[in-house]
Amino acid sequence: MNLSTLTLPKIAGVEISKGLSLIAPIGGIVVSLIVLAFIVWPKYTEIKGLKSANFELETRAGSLESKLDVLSSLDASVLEKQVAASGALLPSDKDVFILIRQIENAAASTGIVLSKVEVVPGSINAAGGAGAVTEANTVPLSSSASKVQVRLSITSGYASLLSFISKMYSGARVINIEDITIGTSGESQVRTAFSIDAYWQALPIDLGSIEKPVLPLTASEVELLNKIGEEGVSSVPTVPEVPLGRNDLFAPL
Amino acid sequence: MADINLLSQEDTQYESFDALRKKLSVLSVILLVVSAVATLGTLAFYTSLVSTRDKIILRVEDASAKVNSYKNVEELAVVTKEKVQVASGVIASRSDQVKLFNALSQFVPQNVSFSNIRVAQGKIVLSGSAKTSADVASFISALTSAQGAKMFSGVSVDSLTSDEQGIYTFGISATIIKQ
Repeated sequence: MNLSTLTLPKIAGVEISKGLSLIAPIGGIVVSLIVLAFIVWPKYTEIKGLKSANFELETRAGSLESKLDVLSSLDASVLEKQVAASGALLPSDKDVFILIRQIENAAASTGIVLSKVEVVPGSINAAGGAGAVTEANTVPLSSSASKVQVRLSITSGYASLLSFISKMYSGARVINIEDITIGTSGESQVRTAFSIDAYWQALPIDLGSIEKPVLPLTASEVELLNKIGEEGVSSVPTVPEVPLGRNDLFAPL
Repeated sequence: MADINLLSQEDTQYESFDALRKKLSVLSVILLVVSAVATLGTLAFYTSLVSTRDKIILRVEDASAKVNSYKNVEELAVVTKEKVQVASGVIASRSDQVKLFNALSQFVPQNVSFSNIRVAQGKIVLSGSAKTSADVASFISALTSAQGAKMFSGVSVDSLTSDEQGIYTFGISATIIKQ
């Protein structure tokens, strides 16, 4: 007799208890999945965002703190001297007349004769911000530096010419002498034509982002500023005052 | 003789159901534990990250306030740096004509004289006269010597003529090597 083939009457209560006994494990699984899907996963996504935000904040804090270290290490009195020296080195305005005065002083002290001094058109006017120096002959050097140009014709001895060039280069303001043409002019005299480019840089309008690092001066830059400082910023020529007032506007000079 | 299966079909079904229920229970417990641990871990980590963020924000605010208090110093430092950087660049890139002429004078023979010298855009053009062709040769030789090659390159004789007195007039050009 095969007992397994015997059919017994189903008891409804047994089936119900079977179903009920599965509620707990299935419920546990469902709850777990809900927790994972609606709590753990969103938080995990938030954590990823938070980690990158923290990294950015950490970088920002680090750059601000290192900037603070640099700024707090600067000596205000030294810095003021360096600012004055850098202003002499690269004025904030074109200062064409100071350049002409410098040329005149150098010519007088080296014994050269200035045959012609010609300020390149556009060099005198339109001083101001870096954006204003796009006119002809004021070629921007970098994003914020420009130059004014003066063309000179001089007559002198050869030695005086070299002294004049040396004197111009030894001045506080940074200049560049270019396009030199030297020709003989009689008795041991030379006639020379060249241009002098004098650089200037407008003051920055704003400092930019607070996180923008402050770069410390390099040793060579400090040396350059010290050299200007030692020679004296006051050695920069000034345009002398002249008496004002003239009744006859057409009277000869 | 045929095998006799003593278990009823209901018993067999019950056993397999019971095994499934046990497996589901174990899986359920494991998942509950995992989700509980993951939830706690995630929340704890999230809380610590939030706390870290708050601390960093405080650091940023503190540092920003301090940096702002140094604004005047920063202005001076920025202006100085920008100006001295540009000035250093110009000084480094410009050529020193006095040094050039002094160096050139060492290569010029006694019987050579110049009528015109032009220095522009890294080139030098020399026009002059020499008493003999040997003086011109000596001058060119000096310019192209090991010493001269430190100052000039691409030395080229553009013109060379002599008059009835034997005076040679020459035109020489060369590229100036930046020191």
